[in-house]
Amino acid sequence: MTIDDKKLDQRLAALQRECDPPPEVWVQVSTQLPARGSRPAHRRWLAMAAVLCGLAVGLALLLGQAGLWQPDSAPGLVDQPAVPTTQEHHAEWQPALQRQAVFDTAWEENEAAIKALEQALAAEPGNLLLKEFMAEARLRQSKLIELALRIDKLEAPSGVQL
Amino acid sequence: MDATAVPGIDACQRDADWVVSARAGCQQSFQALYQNHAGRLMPMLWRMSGGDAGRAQDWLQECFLKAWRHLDQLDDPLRFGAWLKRLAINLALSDRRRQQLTTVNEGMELQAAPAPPWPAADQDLERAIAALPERARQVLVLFCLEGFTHAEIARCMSIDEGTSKGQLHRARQILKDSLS
Repeated sequence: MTIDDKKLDQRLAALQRECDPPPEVWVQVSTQLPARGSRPAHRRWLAMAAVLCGLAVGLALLLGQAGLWQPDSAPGLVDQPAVPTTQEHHAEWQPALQRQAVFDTAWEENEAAIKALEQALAAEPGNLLLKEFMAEARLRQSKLIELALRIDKLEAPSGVQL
Repeated sequence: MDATAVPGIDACQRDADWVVSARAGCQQSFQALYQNHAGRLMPMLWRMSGGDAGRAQDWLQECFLKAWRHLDQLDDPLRFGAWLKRLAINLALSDRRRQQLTTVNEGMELQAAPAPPWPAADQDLERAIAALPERARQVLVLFCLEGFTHAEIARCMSIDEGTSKGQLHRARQILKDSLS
């Protein structure tokens, strides 16, 4: 006498579907895992850190040019220039245009850095170094916004035709 | 018969998070995926191998190595479990096909019927499945235990649906005879 289909189905349904993952297989797997991506993770962070440092230096120079940031020096000790001539006005305006270009570049680079950091933090939410970089990038973002407001107020000096 | 356990949304989301980290090169996340899924694949692979624990472990290892290499090809990280299972099945089936090119002897499998390497409640049925002829066993495992349809089995095994149904009938008949 053979068992019926219903009984067979019940026994098949009751079969174990899960067991402990064999640790020896993971040992074999882990020793053979090739590195993923074009660069190891720690090198990517170093590259990102280098970019952020470059941004910080560029931003400091930009802020210095715009007069938003001065290195520590006693105020009032620097001689103020006399009333500028037309040529001096022109010379003053050219750096303003350069500042705009530098600003645009700095803003785009900082935004790209923020996006890259957001992706990296999504992959490693607990990475303190990344969080620190992100805080710095956000701080730079706010400084750039402040600077943009300042640049918008600039006007072409009198006597200069664009 | 609902043979497939459907993972919860939380489990899928957790898998997806690990997949994203693993794609970025995090081996700890990939190890977490292994811990979460290897134990589900192992019984299936052991049964598909006809009770050959060594071969099943080889397939499991190759499956995870392949998954690591091809993680970027996974469109939806939420479906990692299903993707990995399909990967394991394809590996097992292709390996068996290669073997069949050199040794075609289904009768041999009736001689040795090992017990599974985990504390199985129904050892008689496990042994009977392991002793089934090759194709009948594969169809039975995929249909009755993994919830595949005949159309899916036909695609996986490069056979037609009628053959899949025939092999299932054959497998069930052998099991019923051997368990009586």
